[in-house]
Amino acid sequence: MLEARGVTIAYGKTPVVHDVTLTMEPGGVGLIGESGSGKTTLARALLGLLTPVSGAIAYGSRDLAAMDRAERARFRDAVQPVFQDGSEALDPRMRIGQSIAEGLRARTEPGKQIADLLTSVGLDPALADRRPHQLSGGQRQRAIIARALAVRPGTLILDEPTSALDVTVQARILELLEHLADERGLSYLLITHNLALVHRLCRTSYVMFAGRIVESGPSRTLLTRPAHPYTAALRDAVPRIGGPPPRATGRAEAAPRISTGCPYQRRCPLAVDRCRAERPELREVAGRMVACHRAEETTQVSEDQPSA
Amino acid sequence: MIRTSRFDLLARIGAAVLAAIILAAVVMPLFVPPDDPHPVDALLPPGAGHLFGTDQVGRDVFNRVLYGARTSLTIALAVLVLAALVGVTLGVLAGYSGGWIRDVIMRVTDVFLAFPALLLALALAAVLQPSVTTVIVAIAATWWPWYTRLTASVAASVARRGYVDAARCLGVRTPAIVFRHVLPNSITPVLVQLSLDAGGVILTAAALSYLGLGAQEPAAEWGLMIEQGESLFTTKWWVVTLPGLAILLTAFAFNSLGEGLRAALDPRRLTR
Repeated sequence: MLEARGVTIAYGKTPVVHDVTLTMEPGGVGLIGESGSGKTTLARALLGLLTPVSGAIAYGSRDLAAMDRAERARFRDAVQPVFQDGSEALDPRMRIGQSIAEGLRARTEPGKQIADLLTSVGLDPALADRRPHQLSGGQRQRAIIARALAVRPGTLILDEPTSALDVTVQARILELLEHLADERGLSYLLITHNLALVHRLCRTSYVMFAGRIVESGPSRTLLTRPAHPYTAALRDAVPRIGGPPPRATGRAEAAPRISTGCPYQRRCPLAVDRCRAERPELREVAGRMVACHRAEETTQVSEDQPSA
Repeated sequence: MIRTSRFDLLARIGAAVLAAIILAAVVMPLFVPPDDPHPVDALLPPGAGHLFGTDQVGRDVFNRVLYGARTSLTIALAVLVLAALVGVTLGVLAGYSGGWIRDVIMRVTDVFLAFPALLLALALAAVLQPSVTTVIVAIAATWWPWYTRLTASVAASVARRGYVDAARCLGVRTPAIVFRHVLPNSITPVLVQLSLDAGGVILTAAALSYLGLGAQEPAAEWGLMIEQGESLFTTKWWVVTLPGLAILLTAFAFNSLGEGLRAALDPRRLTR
């Protein structure tokens, strides 16, 4: 299994991911947080595209940094990204078939392999001759998934795979991912800012804020009884039909430079003096890991008022 | 694909003029040899026998201007190919690899860009033997850093796109990523810049020849022709003015084409 062990990543001297430990498990794992929280940076490290300053990315209990060429090639094939369509994940100058062919290992009958891959993601094999701009957003996202499947990976890193799509197309892509995971026994890391997606697709979730994991545990627990005020804010940001309008707490800060205390203190409605003085460590409270001094109180409160 | 706008008219005129110049430069010498001096016919005004008149030694100016087009276009092509080869190669290397490789390449371009281009070309041409080859080498040496800078900035942004990361994750080797993804997606602005620069190269080449550092007699070159006819300007205007107009027209045609290309290839104007 793929895991991050105490990973810290910095761009230049600015650390953007701090001491993150995350373990993949069969099925889906969710990674939730707002823009700038370090999710995508962590994903790039898990893909071997970035090297952490400290800590390790490990696969099959081997440290990625210590792998030889052959092991690294095996790692690359086992872990594949599915980027969001909006990030120019497909080369605009290449035909869909050519993009997918980059991942093919066996050189026999590439045309048939590409057709099979396209079929497996629910696309017409004839689309292999098209270029990305001739496809719809949903078709492009499927083609991106087909390319990732070309190397027969065991783990997919899904970076906001549906954010660029409208709601009905989103639902179909999610169904496809669920179906593929079932059929091929894939595990996947679903990176999103939408707690509702994670609830549906992932048994376990991690919530990231300002480069740190602030809460992790069973998705159901996090969604129904969040312990960290940030998780609660994310949950309340999911609009529900018939529910109260979403409210945002505090304001977004791209890179909070908070040296002492809790990174969430300035946006937290529950912050007390202790939160400004001492950074909370991850600890187990009520069936999940959470980094909040007031977790006991919040779990108490939300148990008294079960969420809709 | 490409929407029309008022820029297109100018670009089309530029393209048409350029096509005419290239056609004339390529086709005409196949039928008409370079004109030899006929001292008897020196300095005839434009008229029936000689469309553009004749020069001091009795050569047909029209003939000379067309042969000059050949020289100028050859110089422009050679300079741009040389400068683009060096510039784009280093630029993609700098932009894709980043880090210290980028820093070294960029500092070298800074050194070249610190000199005014014409001055550097002058110095180079003065050290080497005056000739068309010298002009080509001298101008190319001052021109490539611009392509390096341009390509490096574009390649650096292309290198961060999803398809490059995806290719790396699929195990595509670095040279293949560079040639298959980074280069083709970085080259468009360079092509536009090349067509914009062609006029400037022709002007610079003419300037160097005018200063006596480029093409030498009896070669036909616009800058050289102007230098030789300069003293006659007030009395025998055609000897100087017509090669000058040829330079102007060619530079204008390249620039209009380049502007049109820039407008047409602007990604914001490409329809999906």
